[in-house]
Amino acid sequence: MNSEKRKLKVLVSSTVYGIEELQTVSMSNLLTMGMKSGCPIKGRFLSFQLEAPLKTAYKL
Amino acid sequence: MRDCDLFLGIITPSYGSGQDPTDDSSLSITHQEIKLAIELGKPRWLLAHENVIFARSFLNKLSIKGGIDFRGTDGRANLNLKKSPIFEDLRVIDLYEEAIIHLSPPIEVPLSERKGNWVQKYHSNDDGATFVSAQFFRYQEVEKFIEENFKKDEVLQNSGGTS
Repeated sequence: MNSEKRKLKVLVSSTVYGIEELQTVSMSNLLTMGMKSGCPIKGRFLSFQLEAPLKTAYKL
Repeated sequence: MRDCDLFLGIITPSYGSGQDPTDDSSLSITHQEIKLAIELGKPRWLLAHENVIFARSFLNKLSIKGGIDFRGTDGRANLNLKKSPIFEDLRVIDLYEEAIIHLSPPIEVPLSERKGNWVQKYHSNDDGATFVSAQFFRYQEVEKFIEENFKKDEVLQNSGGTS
């Protein structure tokens, strides 16, 4: 797949605190992986710039 | 927020952090972000824990004999909630109502005119994950959806746009 085409930027915001960083992962798996590992739901507040290759999440 | 293409917000019985400790009325960061997502008309996917929805429904049916009820932000202002992990702050319900565009007069939007007001209830992390996976796993389709629906000055504000 052509990673240059993946430029959706997704902001994920949760009211529960958790981890503050994500490792670089593929965009297609990020949200699924994040949920399973408790990132978005348990993770207070993650802002992702979903670009492939995914850049490290940044915190506002 | 202003730079994102889409927004995924998760409303839980916790209220979130980032409030001004000197101002009890200040909003959590997530509350501010969801408000801004609505204001900016961002394509948005929102989840709310079932306890939030239950608490709202329960309070909406509750009243003191002879008078005061607890509907809406104004009604809930009659209540004090001791902060706990079970339910941290009643403003979580305000946040939920803003997300479903169930606003109090004078800015009330009739149900038939609300758009972009779907908030997915979830019970567990796995439950939430199922929704998010289904919505976003095929991100190319999401990208196409946004391209087709939100790049023509069409936004999901309180009373406009499509979902």
